[in-house]
Amino acid sequence: MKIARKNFAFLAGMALVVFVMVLISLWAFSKIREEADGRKHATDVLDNANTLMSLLIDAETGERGYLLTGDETFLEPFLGVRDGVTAHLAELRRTPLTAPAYEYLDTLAPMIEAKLAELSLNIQLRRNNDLSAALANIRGSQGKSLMDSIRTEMNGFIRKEQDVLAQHDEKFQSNMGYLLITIITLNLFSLLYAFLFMRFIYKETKNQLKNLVHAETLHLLEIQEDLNNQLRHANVTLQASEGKLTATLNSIGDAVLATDSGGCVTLLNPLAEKLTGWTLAEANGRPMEEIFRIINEETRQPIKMPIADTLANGTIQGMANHTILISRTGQEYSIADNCAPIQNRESALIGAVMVFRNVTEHRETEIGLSKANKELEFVKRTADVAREYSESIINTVREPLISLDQDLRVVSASRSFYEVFKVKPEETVGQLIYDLGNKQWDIPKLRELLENILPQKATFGNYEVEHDFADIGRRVMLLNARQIQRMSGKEKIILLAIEDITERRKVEKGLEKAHEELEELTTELKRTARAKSEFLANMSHELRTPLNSINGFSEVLYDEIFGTLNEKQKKYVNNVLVSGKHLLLLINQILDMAKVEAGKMKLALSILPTKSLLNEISLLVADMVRKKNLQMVLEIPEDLPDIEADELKVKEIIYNLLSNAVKFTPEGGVIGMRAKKAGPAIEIDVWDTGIGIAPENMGKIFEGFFRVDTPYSRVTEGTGLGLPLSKKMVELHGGELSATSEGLDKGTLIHFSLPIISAKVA
Amino acid sequence: MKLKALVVDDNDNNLLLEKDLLEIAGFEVFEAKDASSGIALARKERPDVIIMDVRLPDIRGSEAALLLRGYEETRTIPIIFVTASVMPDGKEEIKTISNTGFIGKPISTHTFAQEISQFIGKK
Repeated sequence: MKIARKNFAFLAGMALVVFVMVLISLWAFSKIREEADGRKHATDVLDNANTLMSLLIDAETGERGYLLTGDETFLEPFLGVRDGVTAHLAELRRTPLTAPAYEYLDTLAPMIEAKLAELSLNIQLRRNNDLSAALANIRGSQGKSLMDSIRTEMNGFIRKEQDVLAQHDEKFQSNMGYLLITIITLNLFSLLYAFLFMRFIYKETKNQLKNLVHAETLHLLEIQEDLNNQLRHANVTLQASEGKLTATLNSIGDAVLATDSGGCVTLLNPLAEKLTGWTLAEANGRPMEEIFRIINEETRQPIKMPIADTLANGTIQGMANHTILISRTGQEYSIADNCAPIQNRESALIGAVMVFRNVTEHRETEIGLSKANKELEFVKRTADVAREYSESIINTVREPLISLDQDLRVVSASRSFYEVFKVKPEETVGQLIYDLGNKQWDIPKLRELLENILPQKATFGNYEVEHDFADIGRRVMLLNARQIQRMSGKEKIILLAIEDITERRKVEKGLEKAHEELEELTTELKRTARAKSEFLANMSHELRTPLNSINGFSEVLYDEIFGTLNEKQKKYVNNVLVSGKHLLLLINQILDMAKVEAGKMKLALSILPTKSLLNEISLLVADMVRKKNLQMVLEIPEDLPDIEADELKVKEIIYNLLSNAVKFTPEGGVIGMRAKKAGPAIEIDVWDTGIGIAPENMGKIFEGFFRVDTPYSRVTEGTGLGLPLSKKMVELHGGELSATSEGLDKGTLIHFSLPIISAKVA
Repeated sequence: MKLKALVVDDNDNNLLLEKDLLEIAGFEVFEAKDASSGIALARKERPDVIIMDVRLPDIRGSEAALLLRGYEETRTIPIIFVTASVMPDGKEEIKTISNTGFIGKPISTHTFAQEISQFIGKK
C-alpha cells in the first residue's frame, strides 16, 4: 500500500496530537483515580467508623435486651462485636489518615474498650442473674456517658474524614472536569482525525476495493465465463434433448397433450394442435376442458375429463370407447385416449399427460365393417329368399326349363319339363341331351343351336324346332337358350326354355288367313264405295234433269206469265213448285254428302266479310221467324274479322243451322246467333229454346235423316241432312262443330268454329 | 148417300191431293193429321174407308190399325195404308190385320179414287 507523504505527515501529526491528548487524559485520569481512591478510602473509613458505631450500638442494645429478658438470643450481636470492633479499629489505623484523624482514633480506642468491658460486665452480671447490679451499672450512666463520648469522638472523626472526603471530592470533580474537557477535546480531535482517517481509509479502501473488486470481478468473470460455457454446453445438451423430445413428439403418430397439476394445458404436440384446433401458444395455460372437448359418440353428451381422475388419484386412465373430440372449428374426430400422471423425482404429481389418436377412419372402418357384415347377412338372407323364390318360379312356370352344362349334359330340369315330356328325373339328369327320351332331342336344328350358335352368342331366342316327338306327337317348339354365368368362377350353364307353340302357330295361321280375307273385303268395299260415288254422281245428274222441268215450268205457271190462274190452280202449282225445290235441295245435299264422304269435296276459298254474311243469312230466315212468332237475337261484333273460306258452303252452313233452330222451336220461342273471334278462328253459336235433343239421341243427330217423332218434325220441312252436312263442311274447313242440349224441350246449342286462315283438311 | 172417307196424313200436300181426288170422286172427306185424332174422328164419323199414311208422327200405322180394330165402331172399317218407303215398315204386321191394304207413293191420281172404291167394295 502506497501512502502519500502528505498523508503520512498528516497522519503522523494527527497521531501525535492524539497521543498527547491521550497522555493528558491518562494523567488526568490517574489523578482522578487518585482522588477516587482517596474518596474511596475516606468513604471506607467512614463506613468503618459507622459500622463500628453501629456495632457498638448493637452490642449495647443486645446487652440491654438481655438484661431485660435474659434471653440469650439478644446476645448474638454482642458476641460478634468484640472481635469485629477490634478488627475495624485495626483496619482504621492501617489506612492512611490525616493526623487529626489519628488523634481521634487514639482517643476512641480506649473508650471503646471501656465500653465493651462495661457491656460484658453487665452481661455477666445478668448471666449470673444479678440483674440489679447490672441495672445499677446502667443507671450509673457510666455506660451512657461513655457511649456519648464515643459518639462525640466518633462524630468528630467522622467529620474529619468527611472533610477529607469532601476535599477528595472536590479534586475529583475538578479533575473530572479537566478530564471531561480533555476527553471532549480528544474526542473532537479523534472525530476529526477519525473523519480524516476515514476519508483516507475510504479512499484507500475504495481503491483497495476497486482493485479488489476488479480482481474479484475478473475472477467472477472468469467464473462467469466458466459458468457460461457450462451453461452453453448444458443448453446445447438441453436443446439436443429438447430437440429429440420435440422430434419425438412431432413424429409420434399420436397426439400428446400435457397439463400442470391444476389441469391447465402446458404442451400440445402438432398432431394435438391439429385435432383440437388450438395452437400451443393459444392453448398454453388454459384449462383442459376448454381445449379438449369430448362427447360420447352415441349419446352425444359431454364426457368427464380422464385427466381429472389422473390428477386426483395419480392413476392411469385407459381408453374409453366411442369418444368424439370436437375441435375448435367444430370438426369431429373419433378418438381413443390414454391418460397418465407426470411425476417429478420426488414422486410428486406435477401434471398429467394425455395421449390420444384419431381413430375416425378406424372407427369408420369398424362401423363400415359391421354394416358390411349386416349387409352380408342381409344379402345372404335375400339370396336364400331369392333362391327359394326362383325355385318356386321355375317350378310354377308352365314352360319346360332345362339346364345343361358345357358338355350338354342335363344339370337339372323343371317340373313342367317332366310333366310335358312325360319323363322322369332319373332318366333325365346327367344324361346327354341328345340321349333323352329315346333320342327324341337328337334334332339337327337343336344340335346346331347348342353347338354352333350358343358358343358365339350368349343368348339365342325364339329358335323354332318342328319335330315328331315320341309321346306327344308332332309339335312346334320354340326354344330360348341362354348361357348363364354362375357365381365365383363356376363354369357357365346353358338354360333352355321350351315353349310348345304348336297351337299358337295354328292360331296364327288362322289369323293370317282371316287377315287376307279382310284385305280382300276392304278392297271390295273400297271398290263398292267408289262405285257408289260414281253411281250417285250419275244419278244426281239424271235426277236433276227432270227436276229442271218440274221446277221451271211450275215457276212459269205460278208467275202467271202465260195467263192468270184460279185459286185452286195456283195452289196446286205452288205445291208442285215447293215439292220440286225440296227435291232439288235433297238431291244436292245427298250428292254433297257423298262427295264429302268420298273425299272429293273441294273448297273454293275466298276472303269473306263474315259480319255482313251472317247478317245476310239471318235476313233470309226472317220470314220464317216472323211466321212462327219467334224472337231472333243476333250478337255479331263490329270487329268480327273476315275469314278465308268457301262462300257458298259457309252460307249453306249458317242457313242450315238457323233454319233448324226455327224449325225446332215452338211458337213464341227465341232463337239466336252469336259470333266472336277466338284466337286463330272465329266461333259461332246458333241456339234456340226449342225441343232440344235427348241424351240418347246425341249421336244419331249427325247420322242423317234422323227424325225425332214429335209434332215439330214435318216431312216437308227440312231434308234431315242439314246438320250432318254442315258438320262435314265445317270440318273440311279445318273447324269443329258440336251440339249441346240439356235435354228434351230444353233448347239446343250448335257451336262451331272456322279458322280465319283456312286450314283445310287436304 | 155419299161415302165417307177419312184421310190421315201429317203432310199437308198429301192431305190436300188425296182429299181433292176423293171429293172429285164423290166422297165426303174427313182429315186428320195424326193417328190419335184420326182414330177419334173415325170413331165419331164411322167412315166407310180410312186412308192412312204408314208413317205418322205419334204411332206407327200398324199400331193405329190395331187400335182401330179394337174399337167396336171401327172394327170393320177397311184401312188403306199409303206407303213410300222400301222398308218393311210394319208391312208384315199390317197384313195380319183384317181388312187392310196398301197403296204406293207417289199415288196415281187417275186411279186413286178407283182403288179406294174397289177396296170398299171388297168388304
